[in-house]
Amino acid sequence: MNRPTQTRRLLPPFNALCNIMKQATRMQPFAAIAPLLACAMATSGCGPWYDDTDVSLVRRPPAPLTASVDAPKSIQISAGAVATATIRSRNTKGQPMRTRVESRDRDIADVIGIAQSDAVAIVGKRVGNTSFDVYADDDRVDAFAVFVLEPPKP
Amino acid sequence: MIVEVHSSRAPRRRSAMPLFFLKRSAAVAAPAAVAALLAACTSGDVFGPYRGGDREGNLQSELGRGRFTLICQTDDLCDASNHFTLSSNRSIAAQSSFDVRYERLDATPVVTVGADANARYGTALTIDAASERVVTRAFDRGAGPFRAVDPGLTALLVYDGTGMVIDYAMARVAQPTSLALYTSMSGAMTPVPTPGIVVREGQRRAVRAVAQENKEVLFGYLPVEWSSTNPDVIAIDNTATALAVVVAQAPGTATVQARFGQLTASVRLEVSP
Repeated sequence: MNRPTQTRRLLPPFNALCNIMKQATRMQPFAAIAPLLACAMATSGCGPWYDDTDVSLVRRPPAPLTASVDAPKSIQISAGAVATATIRSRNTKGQPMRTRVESRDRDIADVIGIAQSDAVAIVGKRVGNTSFDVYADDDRVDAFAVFVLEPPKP
Repeated sequence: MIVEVHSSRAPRRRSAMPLFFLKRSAAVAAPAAVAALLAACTSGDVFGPYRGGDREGNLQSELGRGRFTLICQTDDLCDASNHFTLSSNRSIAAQSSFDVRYERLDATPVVTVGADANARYGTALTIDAASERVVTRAFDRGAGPFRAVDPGLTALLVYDGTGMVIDYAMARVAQPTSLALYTSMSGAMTPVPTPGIVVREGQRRAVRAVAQENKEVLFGYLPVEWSSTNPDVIAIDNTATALAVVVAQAPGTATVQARFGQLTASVRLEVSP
């Protein structure tokens, strides 16, 4: 298993500036200048920062229940179903980051770690919509929309 | 790569259910029926033929870490060492109650958990259903046996003490389409014969109602209402579950009927002197 990457230790004021720029790259108003910010961060010694999160289904629920990961950042699963998946964030250098996922509404869908595995169980509990927040190196960096669907009649 | 996922589960309170069942058991158990049903539980083919698969593995482990078994409720008839499986098709009757045993294969010693077994064995493992619309607990606070609610599919997940998933299996809840009666004959439960049953005066006989879907036996204890057309001839004892003990009171004939919702099944009993 790879070690998670760590942001280079910097003096507190400079570190705070890096964090502000990292946040800015993820904000819509700064999307146009995100490459410029990224370039500035790279040349100023901020180090790598969050790039993206991949969700890969490992085990789908048995038919007729379904589970799928759809672009952009959307998960669909039948109520009552469990799918196992790997959820991995990586930084701008393509290195894995320490990733944590939380459901905003655990009564609708939950994401639970599987013992002795780096996969997680995505559980569809009740029909509805919620989202999974993704944390990389303890920063909330992304979110996946989760749609729990009415299961077909068995 | 390290993936951390926060658990959504709080530690469970231990249940006082076994004590409750013991009290109920002591109050309502009929010794003859217990003996007959325990014999049936430990016998070979119970409640019809078993088609394919492992008798004790009739719910398939999705992660392959253990073995799921649908078992009797822990009441006056069965306990964890005298469990029996009713059918092989993994389906459970809607509105019935049932229990699940999970044996973790990668643990030494084997860990057994179930709705009641948490308190009984003191294990930190718990089992819960993904969809409460399909399967829920029969009692509040996550204790007691499971109750099949509406037809559908749901995963049954096994959690460790930290809330991590260890394993899961899929369970199907089906709407019963018919009701059938079984009775103990020569130590095994068999369908009641069509002409009826002849019993001697003073004799007791256990009759059990099972739900069927297209003639396939469904798992689960049904909340069945029992009645006798002639209580002076055939009285009914122990109507707490899907099992009734019929007691031959006096010579004559009577019909015992089981009712579950709109479904009924009956057996004619003749009491000989």
